[in-house]
Amino acid sequence: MGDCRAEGIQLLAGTNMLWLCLYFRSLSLDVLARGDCSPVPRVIVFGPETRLQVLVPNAAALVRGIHAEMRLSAAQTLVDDLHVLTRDAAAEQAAVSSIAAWCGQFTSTVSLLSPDAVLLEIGASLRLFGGLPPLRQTIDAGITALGYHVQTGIAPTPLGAWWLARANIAEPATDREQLRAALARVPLRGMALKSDVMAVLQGVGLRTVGDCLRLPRDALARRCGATFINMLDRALGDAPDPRPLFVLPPYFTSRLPLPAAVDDCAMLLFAIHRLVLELAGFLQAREAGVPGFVLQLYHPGQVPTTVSIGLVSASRDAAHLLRLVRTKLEQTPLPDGVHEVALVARDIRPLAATATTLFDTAETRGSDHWTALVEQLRARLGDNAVTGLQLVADHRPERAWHYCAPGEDGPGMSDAARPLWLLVEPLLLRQRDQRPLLPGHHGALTLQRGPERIESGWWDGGDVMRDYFAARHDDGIRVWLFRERCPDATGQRRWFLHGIFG
Amino acid sequence: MLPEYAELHCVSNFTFQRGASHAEELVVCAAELGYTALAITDECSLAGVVRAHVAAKQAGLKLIIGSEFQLIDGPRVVLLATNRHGYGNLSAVITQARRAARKGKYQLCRADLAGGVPDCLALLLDPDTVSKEHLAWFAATFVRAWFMLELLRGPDDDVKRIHIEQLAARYRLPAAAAGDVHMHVRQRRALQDVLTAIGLGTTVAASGAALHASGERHLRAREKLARIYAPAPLAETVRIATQCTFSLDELRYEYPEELVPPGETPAGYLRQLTEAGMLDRWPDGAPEKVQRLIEHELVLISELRYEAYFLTVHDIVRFARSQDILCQGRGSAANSAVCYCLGITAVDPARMEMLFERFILKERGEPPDIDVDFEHERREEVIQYIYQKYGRDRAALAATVITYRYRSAARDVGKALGMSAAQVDRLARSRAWWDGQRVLAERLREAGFDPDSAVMRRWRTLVEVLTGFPRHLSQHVGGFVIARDALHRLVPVENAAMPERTVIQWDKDDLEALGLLKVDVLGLGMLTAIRRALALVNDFRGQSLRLAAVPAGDAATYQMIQHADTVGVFQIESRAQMAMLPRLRPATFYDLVIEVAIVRPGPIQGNMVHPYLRRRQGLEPVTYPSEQVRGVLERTLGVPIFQEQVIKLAMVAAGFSAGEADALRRAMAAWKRKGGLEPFERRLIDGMRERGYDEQFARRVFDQIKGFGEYGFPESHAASFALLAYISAWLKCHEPAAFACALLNSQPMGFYAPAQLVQDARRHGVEVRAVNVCVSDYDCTLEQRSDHEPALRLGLRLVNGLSVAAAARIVAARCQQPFVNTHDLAQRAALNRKDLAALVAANALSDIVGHRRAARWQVAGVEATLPLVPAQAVRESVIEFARQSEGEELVEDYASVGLTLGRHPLALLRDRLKDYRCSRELRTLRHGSAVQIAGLVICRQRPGSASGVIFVTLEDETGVANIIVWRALAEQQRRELLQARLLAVSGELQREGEVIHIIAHHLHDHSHLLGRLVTASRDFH
Repeated sequence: MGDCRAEGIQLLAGTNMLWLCLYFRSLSLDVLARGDCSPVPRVIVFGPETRLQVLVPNAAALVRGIHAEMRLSAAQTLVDDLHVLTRDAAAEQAAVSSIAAWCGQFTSTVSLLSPDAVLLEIGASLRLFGGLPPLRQTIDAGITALGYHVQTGIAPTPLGAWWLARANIAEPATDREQLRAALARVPLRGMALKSDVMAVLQGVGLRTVGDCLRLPRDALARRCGATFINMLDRALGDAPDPRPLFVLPPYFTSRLPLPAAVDDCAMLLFAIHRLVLELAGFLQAREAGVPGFVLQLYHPGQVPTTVSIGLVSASRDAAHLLRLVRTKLEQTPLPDGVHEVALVARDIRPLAATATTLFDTAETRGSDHWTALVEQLRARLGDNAVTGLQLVADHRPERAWHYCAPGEDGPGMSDAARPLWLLVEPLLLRQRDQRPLLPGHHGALTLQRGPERIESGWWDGGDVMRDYFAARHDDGIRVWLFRERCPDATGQRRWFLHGIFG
Repeated sequence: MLPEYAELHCVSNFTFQRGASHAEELVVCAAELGYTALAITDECSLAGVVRAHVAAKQAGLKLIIGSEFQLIDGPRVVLLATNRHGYGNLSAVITQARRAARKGKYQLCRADLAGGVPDCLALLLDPDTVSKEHLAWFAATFVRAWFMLELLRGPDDDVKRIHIEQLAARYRLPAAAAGDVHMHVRQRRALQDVLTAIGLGTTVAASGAALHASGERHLRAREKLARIYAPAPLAETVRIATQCTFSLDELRYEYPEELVPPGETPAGYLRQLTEAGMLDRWPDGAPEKVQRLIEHELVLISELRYEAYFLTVHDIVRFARSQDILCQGRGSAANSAVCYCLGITAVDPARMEMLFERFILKERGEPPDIDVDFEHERREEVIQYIYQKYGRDRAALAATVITYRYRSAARDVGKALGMSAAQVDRLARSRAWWDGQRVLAERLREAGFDPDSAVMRRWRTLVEVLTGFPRHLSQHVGGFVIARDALHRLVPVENAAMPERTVIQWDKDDLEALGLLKVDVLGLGMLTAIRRALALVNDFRGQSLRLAAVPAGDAATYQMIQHADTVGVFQIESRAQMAMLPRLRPATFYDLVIEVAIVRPGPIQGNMVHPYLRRRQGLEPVTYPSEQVRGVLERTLGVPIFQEQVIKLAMVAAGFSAGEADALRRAMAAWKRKGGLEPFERRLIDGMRERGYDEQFARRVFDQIKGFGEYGFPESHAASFALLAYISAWLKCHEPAAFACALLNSQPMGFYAPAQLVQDARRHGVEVRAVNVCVSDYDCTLEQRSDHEPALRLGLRLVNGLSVAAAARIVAARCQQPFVNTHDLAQRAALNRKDLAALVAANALSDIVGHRRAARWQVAGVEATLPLVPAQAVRESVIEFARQSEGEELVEDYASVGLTLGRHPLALLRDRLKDYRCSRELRTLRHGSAVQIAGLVICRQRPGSASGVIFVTLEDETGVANIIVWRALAEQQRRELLQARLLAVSGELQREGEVIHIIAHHLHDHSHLLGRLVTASRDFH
């Protein structure tokens, strides 16, 4: 027994330990694509803008002949409508943390091994979950439901499990003898070596870990370094390999980027489903529930839509939470093109542990039927979505001040004298003898200042070509008008009211 | 009555990322609007003024030369030149500001302008936004100064106007109107916004306040101006314009004077040098014909006062020769008898029996043109000599204007419109190299875009306009301008990207338009190769062969050329040339001159090739449409082939005057970039018809003119190139080992990669020996064989990833004592890990440690012990590693050295490609046979002249096969055509004598076999 914890976070591989490693070979793709169920050929690219290369293709792209490291231009000649995504390292890091938190429901000993792998010590959990095969199946299915492709390896050492996972050797090695035999078959690529070490080993014709083990240790150490030898020892269990313990975050937050903008509720729910499953796993690990959570729907260039889901009593039942989301979304008008969803749950409350997720069924909620109904009703009536303010540097007044509340001062485009009150939509004015008339006011408008010419916005289809004037009405009201520079169909140049000076 | 108006503040697209119109467009538009004058005031630049000047002369508009500056510690001002002196001062200010900053930037402070800029007018921009301190400085600094009133429909023009008028009154300076013009018409607004975004490196949507609020910054109609301005500020513009009397026509080039010894006249000195050279060339006295020629030329040169130009070129050539740098002149004046005597060229008019159109500068009124090619690796020495001799303030390189091409425009516009990197990349690649200028809707659809969507329509329009816009100034490859006095008073000089290098702001067209002379100091790889080959031969055989002494008219050499056995030979090694050689069968030097010139876009587009061949083969009678035409075309059997013949034809057959012919020549050189050939078309065809010539003939001549474009070959160029072609062919024929060796040592150059050069040498019986750390030098070398013939030893320079310094240390260490083992090698040559790895990859250690795997194991061990155990190798047991498979070795050979001395990859794959013929077998097949062949794609080529055809060269273990892919198939099988590394072709064999092509009917990409070969061999041990 070598269990010597250092300040509670260092673990040492012991004889009775069994590690399960989750290796995500297509993490960069899954992170960006797991919210979308459509099987379009899709790749993640990397490299300089003019020489983009494929990092990971999805299954549909592989079938069409696209492989990793192919030039993007070459890939595009194979698939015309190839969906190209750029790698998002921050999102990957967040995803691995989320997965680690989710894994907390199976063991209290979780460790982050590399940017694309998570380690679970499962020796102590085997009995609780009915043995190795059911546990493994539960984990695999759970990860798949979250939308990730995973390869698992099981071994008495962390590195051993990792290498087996990377090499996709599924057969568990439960003791050191089995481990040695299994590792011998692992190809060099499975070891995640530095490129110079890899060059040496490959360059002399070695192909597997076994090939390395056959060479004299000192000769190998001289060429590949002491760290390499130590790594082999740690993998085989001949040297200690302490691992830092993953600490569960205090609250839950997870984002899910969508590979293509979505405005269909069903597709959105597919993505949210994955987030809810993550939340449920996280809550299971903490033996907790939530009395509510918030969904944020991101739209390009706009303020995100916030959807709050409230529960009558705290819960961690994924199916129940998802039902609430569905009802609520049906009530919420969605702006076009959601490209990312986030789920945030800050209020985490202790909840009696359910036996295991395996035996959790819908019946356990039967008596709570009326509370669920109340929640659904509340969701239907719902409170107003909060919208924020956003100021855009744009010459077009209605764009520059879009969300600016009337009377409020914003960082406008210039020091130009702008009215304090701006109409969200310019108001078409009637005219007499080509002079504009103010609605509801008799009497004439006198142009005082102008024209100030604004011609801008061609790039987004909202090109304006206007001459603005400040004008005074006989009543003393000062207004901001513009006349379009181009005549309309009837040959008239139309006048609009756009603002009122305070 | 419309007011008179002169626009005094106007930037062209040479104010990069701001100006949205060409200078020519601005000029034409200003003339149409009836402006009194237009000032081009690019920001700290005169790069656009020559174009504007040429256009203004044509449009009859008065042009003012000026420039806009944003002072670092002061306001924005415009300076306008009033006269030559003022122009010189302006040019000097720009030079100073540009030289003070890195390439493309400038830096100007108030202190730099202290005391004003004499003979320049100063205009203060936006005085209403300028601080009191700066206003006072401006008013105090400039004697003739104005406050500019630029009313552009801003938020409150009235307030602005009143403010500026008050300021003007306070400082007792007049106010004048101006338009801050960025484009010739309002319609360029979108492009102008895009340029702003490109400058900021962001999207238009995100550019916000940096964009102009409206499209007012264009050349406005005078009636509009009359509504905006009071009469006084408009009248003031005209008053300013009348004070500016300077025209670029006043610039006169003044030659450097120091080349003439004291007491001599330039003419006398040139005559002296020419006569000395004549004695050198013809020790027994020059033929009388030559003497008369020289006399005639000297008189001409003297009349036109071009002596200094010839003396300048002569001086440069003399320097090169003193340094043993091979060089050769070309260009119309280079092939004069005078230049031959001065040693500028080696094309001997007497020996080659050529009918040179002796330099005809008087008739054509063009400045003499001499380009000198130097060995490409030593050109820098010549450039440094020029800088040193004349000083940096008197010598500078001409600029090359880098313009937007389709791809760069597609990218920049795409980015500005907010497209993703991947989309932009796809757009940029959407047009294949054979699609021509326009972006085809179909291509965009293929690339997954909807060409009719609003975004794509905007994108297409913008890309089309932006294409051809200047992006930045770069240095010309070697066009030097040398002045008698300070160059920066003639044209602004700015920093180039290379440190210590400066360029002027004008390109070669600008210089030519103003009649300024430049000397082209160019680099030519073949000269390097020839010098090296001669040195290798002389060294190996103990003789002293010189370029000029290579035997002329060698039958074996011409025979080789006739069989198109010309891999590596200068100019005649391309696919198209090789296809022509067996038909044209050059047998004399002049045949080579024609060969060099005929496989060019001009004659091909003018359909002159086949008539010439038929006449040469006696299949068609040699006739002339008239006696005058006979005079022009007799030496080319009645078919125009050279550029000057076509120009001459325009004169004798279409009645062009000398001036018109000269204009035609200029238009010809520039029309691909600028257009402007149309007026000549009618004139030429009508002129020839009037004089009784066949319209078809006239049309062919015109097509040929279009084809010449930038690539036209005058006879004089062709002759200079033909000489190098002959000499390189002679070397290849008689000294193949030395020739291949020299070519390898001069890479990169020419048409073929080292792999093909080595294959070719081996096919010619040259023994090629592998790179070996125990014997190889840095360069490839010749080694003595037992039969005393040379073998070619590959040099360390071919080892990919090995530094030059490391190679030098290896050779030095080896000279002291041979290497005993890897450790010894690493120690004594102080090699780092990367060097050693590179040597192992090249299999260069085989003599010390055996095959690659063993060597790699050894080397890895050596490296790690170096810092700890400096003196001796660690003793360790020997481990046996299996040797690599042949396929694996092949892969590493190619990756490291770029070639293999083992079997050709196709030999290894032949089992799987049994159904395909070898290239050698093609010779046995009849014309029209169906044939299937496969090989490594070593070359894809689309000659500019052949409409949409792609030539593909395939290499297999027996040689090469030439494939022709017609446009339809190319479109249909783009992917295979462009991406296959191992390509199989089924098609039809076509032969004409020795020339064999396969017309492809279907392409098949077998590249995966190369991949599998790698994998299979990896699994195989």
